[in-house]
Amino acid sequence: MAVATASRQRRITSRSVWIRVRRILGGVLFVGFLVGVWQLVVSLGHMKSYLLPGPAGVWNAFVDNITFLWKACVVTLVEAMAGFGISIVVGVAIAVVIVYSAFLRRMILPSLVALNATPKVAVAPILILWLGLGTNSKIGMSFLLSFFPIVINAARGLADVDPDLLDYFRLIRANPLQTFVKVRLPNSLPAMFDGFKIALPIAIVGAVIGEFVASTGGIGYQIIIAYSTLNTELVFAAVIFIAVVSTVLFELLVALEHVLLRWRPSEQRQAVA
Amino acid sequence: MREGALSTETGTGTATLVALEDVSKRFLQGRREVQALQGVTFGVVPGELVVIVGASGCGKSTLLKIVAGLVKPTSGAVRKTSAVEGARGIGMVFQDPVLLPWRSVLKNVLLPTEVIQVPDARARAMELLEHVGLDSFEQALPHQLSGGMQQRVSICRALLPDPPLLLMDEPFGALDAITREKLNLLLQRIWSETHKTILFVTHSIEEAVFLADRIVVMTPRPGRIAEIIEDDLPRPRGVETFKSPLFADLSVHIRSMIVGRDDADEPPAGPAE
Repeated sequence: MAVATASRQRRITSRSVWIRVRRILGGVLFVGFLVGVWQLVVSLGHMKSYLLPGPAGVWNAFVDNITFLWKACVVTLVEAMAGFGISIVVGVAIAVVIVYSAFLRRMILPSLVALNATPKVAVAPILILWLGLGTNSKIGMSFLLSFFPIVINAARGLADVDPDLLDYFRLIRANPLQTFVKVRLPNSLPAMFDGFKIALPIAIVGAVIGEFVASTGGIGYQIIIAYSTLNTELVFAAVIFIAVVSTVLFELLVALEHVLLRWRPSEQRQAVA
Repeated sequence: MREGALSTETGTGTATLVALEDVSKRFLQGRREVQALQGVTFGVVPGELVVIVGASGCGKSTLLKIVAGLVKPTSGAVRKTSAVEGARGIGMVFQDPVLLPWRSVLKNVLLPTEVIQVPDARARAMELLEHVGLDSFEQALPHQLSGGMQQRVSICRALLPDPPLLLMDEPFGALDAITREKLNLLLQRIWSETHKTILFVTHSIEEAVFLADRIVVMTPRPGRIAEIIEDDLPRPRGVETFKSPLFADLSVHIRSMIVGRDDADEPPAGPAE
């Protein structure tokens, strides 16, 4: 109980640093193990490099092509982040509408659920048709894939307020805007971040899918080109590169969450980390 | 019910701060209409500590919400003097502390000032926190405090705008027995020093007898007043109050009314018919 004393606080901090270090160390070791298994499979199976290239070959392909892989990656990330950003704005706006109006909720929600159940990859050619070969169709694809988890989680967070707390705000005659800004919005942040964390990798998937279907640039485009020339080493390098970049972005989002949601009890924070 | 009759019923002849006149409340639970309250009439005079006691489902929380103006009665009237009208007229403490978890203790206590004008709010908040023994915790976050401490913060928040009437809805019901008794003593001290009028809801007979000037005993299905009892135990009350014969007499008398009724076994969860 009570606030931790300074020395106890220090102990807790140093322990949590150790937990972090151990977690990162464990993760790195496991990646090393996977690469080892990969190399073993290649060596023992006498794999042809166009079927399964070895780690060294992939690494060389990566180093040789780093400039243009990086450029392609930036194209894809710009598309994905634009789609993700639109998802946040539109998703949170729809969530607010859904939470405040039972009528609109009944009207909108079934369509949203149906939209989510649609295999959105099938929509990609139509988006290309409508929005062109350039970035717009990829932003559209990225948005379409990522906005549903944001709507659902934001709505859950906005609705999940203790009724007694709402009663208290009515008692002191707070207006709806005050109640929204001071209670509902901050209260929804943990759930919103749950949605963002689901949506961010999906947004990148959306952009890559868009590039697969038809495009003039981006990591998905480069993968298709490399594949069509049987440059499997480059395909692997591109896939691993975008995966690593996605992971870094995800970790940045988690770091932002930690900063914004410092007020949560630590066991709650660790459960989601 | 005439107003004259009300004044006699309070037993003092003083003008009431709040008076309920033949208040009834029905609401729909699914397709069933539930009579939560029937013909409830009583008044609270300034400075009085009235405790409403009853089994769960007797409508006592609904009654408190009607007094707060959060729920409208189906029939009957609530008369309030001008002192308890408006945003600063009534303070309320709920069963859960319902603090804002992202705010420090001090900022939680100061919350009402963001909606209503409170003169010298900061100094007053510090004074209140000191009063309840939390003056060194003003920068702590709610989750760093025990349940009893959080509830003390909630009491400070309710008292900050200096409302003449304090409504308390089973405020210590979720706490362990020892913390509960300590907070009963604290509440008695706050009440005698601030001269607040307190309307307190509980399902603990001992808590009612320990705290009250008058006890409103309610029975369920439908919720109505069984009896209003004067509690003349000498003040200040303390640990020795529990061994007083009058304490035992009152407790047994109330218990026979609430527990002794043959239809009162196994009250269903939620409001009964």
